[in-house]
Amino acid sequence: MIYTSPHSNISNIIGTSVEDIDTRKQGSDRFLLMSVVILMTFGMLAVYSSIAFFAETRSTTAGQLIVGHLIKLGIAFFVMLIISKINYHTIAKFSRVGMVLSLILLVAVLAFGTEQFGAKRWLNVAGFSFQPSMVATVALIVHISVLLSEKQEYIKDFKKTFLPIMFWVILTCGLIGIEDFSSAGILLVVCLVLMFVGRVSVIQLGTLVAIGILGGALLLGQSANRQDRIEQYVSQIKDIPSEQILQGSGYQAQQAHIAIARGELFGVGIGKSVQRDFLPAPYNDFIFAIIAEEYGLLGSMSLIFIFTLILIRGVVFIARNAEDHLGVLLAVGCTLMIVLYGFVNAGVASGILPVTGLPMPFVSYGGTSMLFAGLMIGILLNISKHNRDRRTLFYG
Amino acid sequence: MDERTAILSRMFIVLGLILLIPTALGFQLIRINYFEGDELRTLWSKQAIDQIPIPAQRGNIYDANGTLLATNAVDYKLAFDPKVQVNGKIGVPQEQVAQLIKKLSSLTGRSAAEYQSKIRSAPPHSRYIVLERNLSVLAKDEINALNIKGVILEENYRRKYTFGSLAAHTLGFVNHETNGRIGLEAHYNDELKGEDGLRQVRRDPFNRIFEYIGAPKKLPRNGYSLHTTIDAYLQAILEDELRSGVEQHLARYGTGIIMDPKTGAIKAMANYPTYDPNFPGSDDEENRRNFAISDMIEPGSTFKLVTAIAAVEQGVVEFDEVFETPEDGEVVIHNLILRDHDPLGDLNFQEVIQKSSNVATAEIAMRMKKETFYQYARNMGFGSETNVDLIGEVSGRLAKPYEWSLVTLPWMSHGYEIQTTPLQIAQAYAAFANNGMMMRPYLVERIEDKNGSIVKQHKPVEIRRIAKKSTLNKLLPVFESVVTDSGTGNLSQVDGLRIAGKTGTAKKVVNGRYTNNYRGSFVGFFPVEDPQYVVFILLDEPKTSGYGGFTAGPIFRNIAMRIAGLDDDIQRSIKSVDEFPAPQFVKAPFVTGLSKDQAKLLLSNLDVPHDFSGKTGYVTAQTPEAGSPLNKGQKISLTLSETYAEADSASVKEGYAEIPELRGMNMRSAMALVSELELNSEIIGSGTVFAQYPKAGELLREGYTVTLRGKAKSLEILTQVSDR
Repeated sequence: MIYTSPHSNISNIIGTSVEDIDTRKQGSDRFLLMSVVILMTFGMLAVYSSIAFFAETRSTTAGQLIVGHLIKLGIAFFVMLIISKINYHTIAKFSRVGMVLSLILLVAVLAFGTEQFGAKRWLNVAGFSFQPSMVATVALIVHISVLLSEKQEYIKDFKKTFLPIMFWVILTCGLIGIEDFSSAGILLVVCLVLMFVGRVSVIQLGTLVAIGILGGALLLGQSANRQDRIEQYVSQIKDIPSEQILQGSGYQAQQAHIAIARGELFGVGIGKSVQRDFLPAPYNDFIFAIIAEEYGLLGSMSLIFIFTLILIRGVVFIARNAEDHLGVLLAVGCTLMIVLYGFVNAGVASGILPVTGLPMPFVSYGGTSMLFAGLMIGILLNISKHNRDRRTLFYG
Repeated sequence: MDERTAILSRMFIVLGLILLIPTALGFQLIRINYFEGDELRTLWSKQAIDQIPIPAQRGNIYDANGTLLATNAVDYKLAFDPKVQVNGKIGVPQEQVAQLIKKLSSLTGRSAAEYQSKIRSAPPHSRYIVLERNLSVLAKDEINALNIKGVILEENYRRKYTFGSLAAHTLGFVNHETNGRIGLEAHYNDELKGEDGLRQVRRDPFNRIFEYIGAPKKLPRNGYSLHTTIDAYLQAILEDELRSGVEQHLARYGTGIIMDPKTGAIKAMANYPTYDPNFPGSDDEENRRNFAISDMIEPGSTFKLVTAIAAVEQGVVEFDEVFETPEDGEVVIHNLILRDHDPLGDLNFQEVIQKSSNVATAEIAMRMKKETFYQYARNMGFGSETNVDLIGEVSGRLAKPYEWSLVTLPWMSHGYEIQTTPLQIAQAYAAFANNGMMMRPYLVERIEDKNGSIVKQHKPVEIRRIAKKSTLNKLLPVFESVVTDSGTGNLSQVDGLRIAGKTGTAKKVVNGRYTNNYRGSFVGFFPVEDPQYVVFILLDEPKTSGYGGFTAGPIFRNIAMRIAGLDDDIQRSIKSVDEFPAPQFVKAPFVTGLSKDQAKLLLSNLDVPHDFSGKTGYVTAQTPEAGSPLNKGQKISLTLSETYAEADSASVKEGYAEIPELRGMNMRSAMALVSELELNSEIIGSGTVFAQYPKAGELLREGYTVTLRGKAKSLEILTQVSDR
């Protein structure tokens, strides 16, 4: 028995049943959909405002780039809708295959990947460049959820449960972490949380966290780029250096702070950001700072509120009402993945986290992250359709 | 607890923990905005707000009559941004770039390849390629008319000297930051410069500047204007004559000063060769030097003024005393030979100065104590700066008596072993002309702000009295006798104008040895009755002759003549013209070139019988020729022709015109004649022309000016004037 589900049976593992395509009338979570649309709108405006210089270095215009961004948004939205129509149990069927494939991609990116901004994260396939780490992230979330729901009977068993799950987690996070420490970190945290939610023994998890901290410390010593960022963070928390404002440690974080401070309550106005010229990758890593500058405290708080809304919708409504363990775990995993990316991005810009290069889902410029965020929201929407108690949900 | 409940409860624990993150984020955002906000915003102003100056306009410089000498002209800098967006695409199309380059090269005369290479060799991503500076307003309009995107035109203020090289050394010039480098521009730089205003702009990390609308501004205070004592007319005369003198005598350079002895105002100051301060870099550095204040020269005989004043005031010389100079003109003083230019025989005191005897001057000087002589030299301003308002003045060198050798006194008495600047000599003679009161020379009469209110008004500064008035009254005829037929200044005489002066001839010292190169100078003032002008002229290394009377003297005369023509006061005081005795013999007047009627009028006024061959037109030939003596009743035969034939046109150099005799003509015909020769005329008075400059028969470059002075006057005296 590979997994249990009331809507699929063991004999249909390879084939596709009629139920795989969701034909039921009830819509998906409207709040979730609206949140995504608002995020995309925010993102589009901020990206348009901040991408001009990047456009210049690429010998193109902000207008052309924003058209590209809109197309990616459209694709992501389309993917989201498609996925929301596919029964998550069908996706779950391919979790092991997907996991193995994405691990192969991760190894491939280490061997043939292209380097950008000091890290080897991109893989060029037929003219498209994408990050295999994102593929692996989704694959791992799905696979862990599947494994956890399968192993509920002997969930406290170290050999049967903990070790096989940890095998995939360590392998995937390890491969991602070689080049992208922060993504791997978030993925690891989400996996550990999933395991915790999936009733894995707290003692076993606690032991693992201790080992994880040790491993993290070891990895830290390897990447110069990463070490630098951590050092910046450390020096930045100590105090804001008022001299040497253009050079030296904590420059990026400080510029982001300045952007936030300039925004005050109502912001400097749409498209009037000045700090976009002082921040690196303002359309991506520091998009939150640009929004804070242009839309003020109201704008930045709204953004955080929307991510919090997604968190609450995802956990309190969708996961709690999911029809099976897999639905609960998958919903928690997908929700956390998206929300944590958003919070980490905001946390970096506002200086409570060290500088990492993580995008803000649906807001930042960049195709791959958008696509997989869309994919995960699609899964969430699909889970929301297969709810236990329809009265607790709003249907469109 | 079933599995699901367990899972959900664990899930809510996680939810609770994760909800701490947005809470923390919210607090952090508020903290940044309200607790660190001010500090961060100050930090932002520091990095992104910049103040750039709004340049103040530099003040103008005017001459004594309000003529604009230096002002500011607008020109444009053209930069090109090849990466600008055109029709939704990045980059200016190639054909537009080619069009721009073609236009530019036709406007500036530079090759198109030069501009192309500028664009090509610019760094990648460069969005500001300077193609041309100093484009004129017209050129800017033409470029604008092309309507090519990516063209950046920036306005600049450039210093413009209205008359090119006129008074170049006095005015000086400015560097590329429009700071005065030399001359008045440098000395009055602070006044001329004004105060730049400030404008707040935003600057990004790539140093691009953005306009900041509504940002505080500090308006500039424009520079003050200088109203100088320079008289553009006199300056032009001085430069004109200095140039022709330098060219005629093949001198290395020439220096001239015209000064008002009563106030010390410098009316003109010139050096030749000169330069154009509009393009100061395009001439030799040597040409930019103002020798009048920076040259240390041994003056030679002009310095005998000191000896004369000291000797007369100390009573060591009698006017009727006779000085016997040796037959060969040489004496030996402490083993050094002192020569006169020619053996001069027996001389009285006046003749000593008039004929410039070094031997006698030395003898007179040696009757005084060296301290006494030194004191007079010192009093007359030698050895110390005049403190004229120019940069780069030197003090010359007057050794202290205890430094003197045995021969210093006799040699200094005629202008050796002392170094002076031309201005010091002019200042000393100005003091002589001003009854002994030495005035500080100056160039700026007043400084005005842009509304014309006076910021600073110069008051003439009396330095000291150099001698008793009685002494100078005794010496005045002595120095006036220099400018007579029997004096060394014989070539400096101007009819009807009383001039006092002194020639100077000095061997040049090169590397401590006297060479056979000379400096010839002349300094004089006029009219003697009430001196208005002190003129100093110096030629360095003239090749025709070393004598100042021969080289600098005629330059002085020409200048004095032209000034006299311009100055109504002097004109009034020239009484001599009327008082000349009637001529015994009439000389044949110069009538060639006149119309039949004019010739008829002229000759009948003179009572000269005449006949014409030909009916109408102009006189093309006359017998006897002009200037030959004419007996009473002798007839002049004139040949008429329909067209005015230029006399000896073949022998006249290209671009030059021979000046016809204009005297005796009415002012209108004279002017017509002058303009026919492509010359300009300058008219003083009206009626019949009775004086002209230059004289008839001289060659003048086309475009130059002939001065005509008219007076309703009996024509009889005209032939007398033409006699010289």
